[in-house]
Amino acid sequence: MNPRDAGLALEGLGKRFGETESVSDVTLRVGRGELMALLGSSGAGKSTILRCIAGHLEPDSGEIWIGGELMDQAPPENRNVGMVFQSYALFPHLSLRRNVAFGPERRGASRGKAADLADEMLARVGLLELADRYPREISGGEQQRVAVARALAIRPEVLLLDEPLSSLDQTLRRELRSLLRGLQRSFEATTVWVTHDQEEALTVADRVAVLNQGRLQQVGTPLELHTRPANTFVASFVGKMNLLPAVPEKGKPDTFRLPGGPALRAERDAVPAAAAARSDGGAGEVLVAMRPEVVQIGHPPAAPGFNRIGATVRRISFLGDRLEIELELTGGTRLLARGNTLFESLAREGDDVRLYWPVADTRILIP
Amino acid sequence: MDRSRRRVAGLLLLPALLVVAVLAAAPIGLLFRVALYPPGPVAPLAGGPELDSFAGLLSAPYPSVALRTLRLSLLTTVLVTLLGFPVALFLSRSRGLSRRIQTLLIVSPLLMSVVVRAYGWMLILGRQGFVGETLAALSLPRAGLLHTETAVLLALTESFLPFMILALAASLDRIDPDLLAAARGLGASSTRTFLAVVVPLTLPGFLAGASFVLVGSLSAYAIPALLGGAAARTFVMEIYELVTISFDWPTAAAASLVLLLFASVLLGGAALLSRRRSARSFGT
Repeated sequence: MNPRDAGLALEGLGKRFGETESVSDVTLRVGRGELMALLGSSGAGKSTILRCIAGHLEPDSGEIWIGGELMDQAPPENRNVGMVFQSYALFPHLSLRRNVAFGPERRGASRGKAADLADEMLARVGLLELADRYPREISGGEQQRVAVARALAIRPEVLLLDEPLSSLDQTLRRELRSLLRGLQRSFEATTVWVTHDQEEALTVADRVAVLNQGRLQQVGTPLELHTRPANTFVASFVGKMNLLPAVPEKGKPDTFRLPGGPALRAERDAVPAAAAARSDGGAGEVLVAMRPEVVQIGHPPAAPGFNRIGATVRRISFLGDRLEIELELTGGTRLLARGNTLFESLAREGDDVRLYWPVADTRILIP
Repeated sequence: MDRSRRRVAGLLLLPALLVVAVLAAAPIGLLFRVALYPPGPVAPLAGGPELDSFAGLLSAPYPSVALRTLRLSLLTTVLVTLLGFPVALFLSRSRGLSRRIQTLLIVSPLLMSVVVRAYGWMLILGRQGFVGETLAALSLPRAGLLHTETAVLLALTESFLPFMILALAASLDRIDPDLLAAARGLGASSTRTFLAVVVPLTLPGFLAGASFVLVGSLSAYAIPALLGGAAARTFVMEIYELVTISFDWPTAAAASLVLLLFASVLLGGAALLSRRRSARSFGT
């Protein structure tokens, strides 16, 4: 994707505060109308990136393209970026209608026309009957919806959502998540949704960009992140991942041996070049990775294509709709298996069991 | 709150109510009583009751003095607001040691008696003072601002500025910076953001500061007496002279009550404005 064709493009964005590098060399292109989740823990640089896009912070390096135009010198009011703040930032001295009408008015709409537009937007988030209220007089969930209506009322090229659901309770969060997704689709707004909640990111986004310590770790669809994490950070941040230290087998770039244990295989395209290279020189550890969901207990089917290993059951916990079993390999490495309640009939705590999982679900990561 | 708790609360308020009744309501009642005696120089405080003392306030010089007093009070408030706002803005954007030093500098004049400060202004504004000497040095006709209404206004503004700055800064501090970012993002220029968001949100601080400045300047004595003198007499100066020079206590009492009325109207107006504008948006 060319930065001119993208709804939003960041090219080598960098920002430091004093000695700390908050964001370094972030290149990210969001397609027009696409919803990109920006996922990372607090301090990862997510908010810094948002503020650079909106124009409230000036990046030290890199370019920002909005709707095909280079915008990094433009003041915030000329960028046509709608932002929903974590604190909502509704104007306390204005009614909800005047809050939503604020943007259109500043962009030249007459007061009457802006008010009509505001009513239309409030109706779309289901709050028309509260139009004359003030922000203090409504609930947090309602404030959040007003903030979204206000941001979309300017028909923004890019919509930025800064942890939009973080201060709401679980039920409300689900409800607003789908409302937001629906609005985003119907306005076809190129959207960046900042969150630290991986479940939120995976359910809501077209693609997810994982950020750690100011650096982009991986950009991909939720499924790609889940099945083909690029590194150990993404693997353990997005869901749970078993990571077994292993050594490449000499001359066999797709085979890895656990210390004192069996050899495990992965498909060639699941082995990063760096790991494959180690099979020539021998030394150097890699990690054999697989999701707990793919690990089965018992004897594998006769067909080839499975990795197998023996382990001791340490703990069985009930997760509601499935079981999680903590296992220990000889040598002390722990791993998790998750599956349906059938597992219970197969294993008791303290049992020695056989495990297997498909070679196709095995990935090799560099520690 | 149920009824018994309400009663306890009422009982707890009783001591405070008594203090107010004795220290405020009773003297005001006494003022009324004195005002109803027949007025005149060295009034004997006998006879009546009659309203002649109030009627006397309608004739010269009182109406023009009242007008000047109100004018000074309102102009002082306008000036401290205009001068104080940029300082408050600067103050509220500073942090840490710099902020503490600024605050100290702003309140430091208050450590000095207002009389001393008024004498300071006399030195500056007088014919032989800084203003006069500067004019003379430039071979312009030597003139001073002393004993003019402008001199009083200048000194009142100087003396009330710290209160307005602190009141406005307190309001500015409470403005969430995200609100400004939001306004900019929605298309408001920085000037427009200032006018449409910052100014309205400092209303509570402005009203608190304005109430203080309005009433304070209305009842100021030392500054008008020392800097205005006969040329710019204020209501409080009139009252002082009625009491200590002409011994016309009934007229002095009536004038005091009128001054009290002015203050109440100004404060009431400010309170009404703050309730109407801010109850819904800022909470009470």
